Amino acid sequence: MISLMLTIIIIASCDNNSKENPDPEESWNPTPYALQIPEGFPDMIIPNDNPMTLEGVNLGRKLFYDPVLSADNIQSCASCHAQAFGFTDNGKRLSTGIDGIAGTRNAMAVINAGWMTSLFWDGRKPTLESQALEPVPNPIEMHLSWANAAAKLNAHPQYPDLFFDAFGTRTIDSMHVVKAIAQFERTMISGNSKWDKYLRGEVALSQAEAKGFEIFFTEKGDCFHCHATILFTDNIFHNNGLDSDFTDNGLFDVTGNSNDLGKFKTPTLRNITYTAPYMHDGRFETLEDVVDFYSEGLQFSPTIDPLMKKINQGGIRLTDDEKQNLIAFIRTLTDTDFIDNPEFSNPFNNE
Amino acid sequence: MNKPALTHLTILLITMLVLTIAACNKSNDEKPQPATALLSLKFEHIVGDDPLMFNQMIYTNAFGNPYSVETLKYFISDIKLTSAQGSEYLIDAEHYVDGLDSSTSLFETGAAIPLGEYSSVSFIFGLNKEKNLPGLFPNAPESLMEWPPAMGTGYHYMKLEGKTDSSGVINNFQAHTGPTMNNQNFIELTVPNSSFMVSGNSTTITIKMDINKWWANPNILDLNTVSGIMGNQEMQLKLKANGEDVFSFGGV
Ligand code: HEC
Ligand code: HEC
Repeated sequence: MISLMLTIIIIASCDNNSKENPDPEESWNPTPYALQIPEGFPDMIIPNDNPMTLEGVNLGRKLFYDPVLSADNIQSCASCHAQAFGFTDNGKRLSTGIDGIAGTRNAMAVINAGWMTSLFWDGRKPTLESQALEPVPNPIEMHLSWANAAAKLNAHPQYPDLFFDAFGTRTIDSMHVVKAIAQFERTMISGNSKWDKYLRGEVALSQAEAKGFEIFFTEKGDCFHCHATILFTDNIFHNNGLDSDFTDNGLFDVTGNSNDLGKFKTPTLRNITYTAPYMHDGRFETLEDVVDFYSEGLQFSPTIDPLMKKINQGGIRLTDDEKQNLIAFIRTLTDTDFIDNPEFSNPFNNE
Repeated sequence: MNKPALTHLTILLITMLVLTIAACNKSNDEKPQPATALLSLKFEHIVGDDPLMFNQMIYTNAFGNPYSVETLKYFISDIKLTSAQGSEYLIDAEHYVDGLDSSTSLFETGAAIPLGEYSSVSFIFGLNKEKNLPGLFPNAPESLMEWPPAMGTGYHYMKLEGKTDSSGVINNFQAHTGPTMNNQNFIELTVPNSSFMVSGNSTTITIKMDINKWWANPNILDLNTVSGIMGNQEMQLKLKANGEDVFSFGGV
């Protein structure tokens, strides 16, 4: 008897990948989900405590689209992150919550978010799981306490079974909700734009696109230092010269470091044609406005990024033709397979 | 329970415990003291005699530009140690340093080098031609050093950025070095006066980079001209020449 107990204790101390204990009465067999990472993309880091499963991804997709997570059942994540708009708001400058109160920032695109190591314009969350905890209780977004959200889901006719399939438990709490949503978001990969096809040698660029590519990827335009790598973002923070003083302090509000005043996360440029308006406050309606800004409109402030060249001439000073070419190149980052992918669409439309 | 049975159980328990410990433990059996030491390199950044402080317009270069430093990121590779007897030990590896990320300043090479006396440390500042190819670093932060195909492909060797004050007008500078139009601008250098003794189980060699030296010898550089230089091979060569003496030996 003593020897048996000791053996059990020793075995438990050697085993370090303990799982959440499933209900002993039922067997729980989730299906591992194999992410398809496009060629040339970085490794995606999946948290150890949230492995990808088919059941988890499917549940996350439902939750992303289900207004059940808002106080009055009218708003879901997808209300502000709509597929047709590259998972941003429907052209809104600032997003508006269920009580009609406008936020202070433009909804960010949820594209290749599985690679993002800082979430939000000011990077205040390090993971998709921790990010997803915010919108539900946020009074100017979905405005539903997590206790009430969990109660609604626990009383729902379908969700307890779906959570069991994904996580082996019917007792739903906020952590299960955000884990499922994060799993779905990790599948939202865009890597089949014209640019990707060009890199794979499948298509040629037009003359204008090729000239724009030269501007983007040389110091003439110098976009590549921040809109970097195949993700078209470096995932870090810069003051790109929008303002000489700030109404939104960006990263400073998170770090309290005065060197971070007015710094915001570099957004990806993938599918940028769908995600207007642009910048953290949605100040620019069109890509033409954005390129005019980088060309002539830079504002000096002490934290302006050292990569912003020629600040004293207002910017990179492109001719009209060069601007058109640069925009033609940026448009090659449009991935219609992503925007039309049925696996990312509203699952309730077919029910 | 009678006595013999208890003894029997005790022996069983002890045996099991020993077996389990052996199974759980990574081997920690005492080996004889090896004749090698694990080598690490530590990178320190200075301006003149003082440790580099970021984001402060407190430095002046040989040209007379007041300046601040906001970014310092670089690669070193292929470390070579020469023993007092003249044997060479090459550590075929690459290491990324970010001056703002202290976790990158220590490079644990994992290489075991023989104990004894060494006459010098050499390394490549940047990456050699065989290494500096797209795809070498798939992940951030190293991948963010990418040098675009339109300018030669591979990776930057260094990003040293900041601001300079020209009588009240602030300009940005970016000393970005790399394989401009496929010119191999990496620097093969031997750290001056870098003789040292290796003893014990591990050795950490300190290497210092003096930022001011990038702008001084033999080419005195006006920081207002150190901007947009990735396609400027003449400027690349000037920085390469200045880079020969930016490193000094900080001891073991
Ligand atoms: C009312 C509109 C609104 C709703 C509803 C909403 N979001 Fe957002 N989302 C935003 C805004 C605005 C931002 C940027 C906010 C900021 O930076 O402070 C954002 C940022 C994000 C980001 C960060 C992307 C990045 O690259 O950093 C993710 C991911 C995200 N939202 C996912 C979700 C999920 C998941 C839900 C549902 C649980 C949701 N959002 C609900 C408006 C909304
Ligand atoms: C110093 C880094 C940096 C450089 C260089 C840079 N950008 Fe940006 N870019 C940013 C940041 C940061 C933002 C977000 C700024 C904000 O909203 O406050 C941004 C925003 C944008 C946006 C809007 C994206 C959105 O989703 O709202 C576009 C488009 C864009 N940049 C294109 C370019 C182009 C084209 C170039 C080259 C001419 C360029 N950028 C150069 C950092 C940079």
